[in-house]
Amino acid sequence: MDFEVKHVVYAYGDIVALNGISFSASRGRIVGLVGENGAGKSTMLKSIYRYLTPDSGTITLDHRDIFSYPVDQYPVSYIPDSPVFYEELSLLEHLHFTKAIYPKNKITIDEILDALDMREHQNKIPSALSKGTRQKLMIAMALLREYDLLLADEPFSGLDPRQTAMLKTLLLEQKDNGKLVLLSSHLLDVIENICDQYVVIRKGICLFSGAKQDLLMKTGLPAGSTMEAAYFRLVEQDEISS
Amino acid sequence: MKGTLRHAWQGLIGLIAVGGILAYQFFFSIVKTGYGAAATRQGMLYVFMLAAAVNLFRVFLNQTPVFRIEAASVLLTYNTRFFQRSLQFKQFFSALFSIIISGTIAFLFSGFLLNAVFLKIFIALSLYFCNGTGLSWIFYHAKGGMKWAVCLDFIICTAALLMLSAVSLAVSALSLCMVWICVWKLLKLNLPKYCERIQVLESASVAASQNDLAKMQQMADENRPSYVREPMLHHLKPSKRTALWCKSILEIIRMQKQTLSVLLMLLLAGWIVARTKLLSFVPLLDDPAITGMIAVLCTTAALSSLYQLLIKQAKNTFDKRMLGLSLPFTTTQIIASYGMTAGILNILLAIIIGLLYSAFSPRLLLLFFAGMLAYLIPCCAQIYSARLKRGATMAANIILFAGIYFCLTA
Repeated sequence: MDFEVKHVVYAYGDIVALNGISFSASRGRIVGLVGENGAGKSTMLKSIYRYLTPDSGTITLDHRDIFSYPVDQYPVSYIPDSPVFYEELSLLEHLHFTKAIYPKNKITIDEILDALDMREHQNKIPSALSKGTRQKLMIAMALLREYDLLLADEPFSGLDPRQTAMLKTLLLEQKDNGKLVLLSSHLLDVIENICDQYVVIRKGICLFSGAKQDLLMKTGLPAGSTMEAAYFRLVEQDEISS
Repeated sequence: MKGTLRHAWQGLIGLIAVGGILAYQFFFSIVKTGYGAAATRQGMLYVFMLAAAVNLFRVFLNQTPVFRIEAASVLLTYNTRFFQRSLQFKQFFSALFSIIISGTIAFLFSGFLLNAVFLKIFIALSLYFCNGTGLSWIFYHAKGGMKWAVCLDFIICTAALLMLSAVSLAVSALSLCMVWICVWKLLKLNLPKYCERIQVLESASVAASQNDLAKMQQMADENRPSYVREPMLHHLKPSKRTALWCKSILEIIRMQKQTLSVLLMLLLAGWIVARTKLLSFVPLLDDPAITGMIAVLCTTAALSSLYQLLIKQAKNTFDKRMLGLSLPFTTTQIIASYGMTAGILNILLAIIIGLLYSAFSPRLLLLFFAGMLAYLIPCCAQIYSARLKRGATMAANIILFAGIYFCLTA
């Protein structure tokens, strides 16, 4: 496996956010991290991004501990749940800045502007952008970086249906280009068609990791059932067993 | 206005007294005018330059129209004779005010005598101020090419004032005729501007009456400029090595104008106290030891504030790297990139201080190094160990003060 999370524990003081989570994934796949609010999805992504250091456990990329990568060689790009910007730079300048510091990425600024339909806003500063455009800018900046693993924390929030479809296409393109995408979302119906693998997290514990068919089998649901139904059944089973 | 008078009359009296004293010092110490003695040519030049600065503000920087009519009144009465008459009334009083001010200045200049010198200065200033009033009105309402014409005419009028000859007076008079023809015959009022103003006033008054702080904050945000101005980052052609540095340069260029103005005013205040006799009438300010120390303090305050801004920007970039704006740079590289900007600013500031205080000597190098330390010590402390922040800032200020002290009091 190219990417592996093993028995990761992280606590915010007395509150345990991740309680021995383990899962693994390979390149060329989209992995959906699903779970309710406060389940630990964002904490997991922040730990992989190295914003948080786990209390115990290991996270490896290509069999190498992620914390051993030098800062300029860590091949991970991140779309945070709340947009972060440089207030004084315009949208276009954000893209040029990212392109300048990651020159090896072959995507051009023009391509990304067109793909995300942001040309009309290119000279605006972030505070003048709508929520959706800010989110698109975060996505554009993440895609312009040089990475093997893309972390996306609620990337569909604030996007309209057209933009959502556009982002889905972009994520599938990343997958086709051999990148691994780790996607956290509440919107099970939105991510259902694009994810190859799911990691269901509840109260900091990994309830399931695998393909949708395996989840349906585990929950005893028929083959055509939705991801939403499978998720609720899994949570129900967990409540009964605990 | 009534409220201001009622609540701030002490402050206003103080301001008027300070203004009066400064004006007195300006006319009698700097311009060297006196009873029966006209001002020197150089003194006149100072006053004309001051008049040019005032007109520059009135024409290009003033956010409100020079003939102030409430937006609602403009929209309600625009096509009526009443509007034309009110506008004429405002214009007449504005011209009268300009004439009175010009007359007063000319009277002071000519040594309190009504002679040919008085007449010449009076006509020149009256024409200049009236031109300024007209140009300001045109600039407020004009679009596109007409704005450039205003700029050109402003330059011509200012040059004519500074030259002060019969020909220049004729040029000013001709310009005034053209400006007023334009105001009355060619110019169309920019009504959308008044509409916008009404909308803003309406929303502001509703928000204020409901004590709706969130709405007021939103209005303040919405009224911020939403577009950045040139130069743009990509015009600087950043590479991986220079990207952070280019960004920090842009941050300085786009820094809030008020902040930069305060820094410049501090530098200027130090210079005025130490190198001019403008405030020498104030007890203690005639002692070079005290004025020198005030200059050192003012310069230290200005430079220290500038470094704090740079440190804040570096810290901001560092924090945002952690929050998701990943950068392929180590912390040291981030500090070094901002340090390069600090270095450039330090060189510029050393040159400016050298010019202001005629202090070009190897000691300026000391100032440069003190400046660099004053940036680097608190910057590293803030990023590596927040606990050391206060101590580091204090140490940096002491180093900076010492550097400036040795440079200026040499």
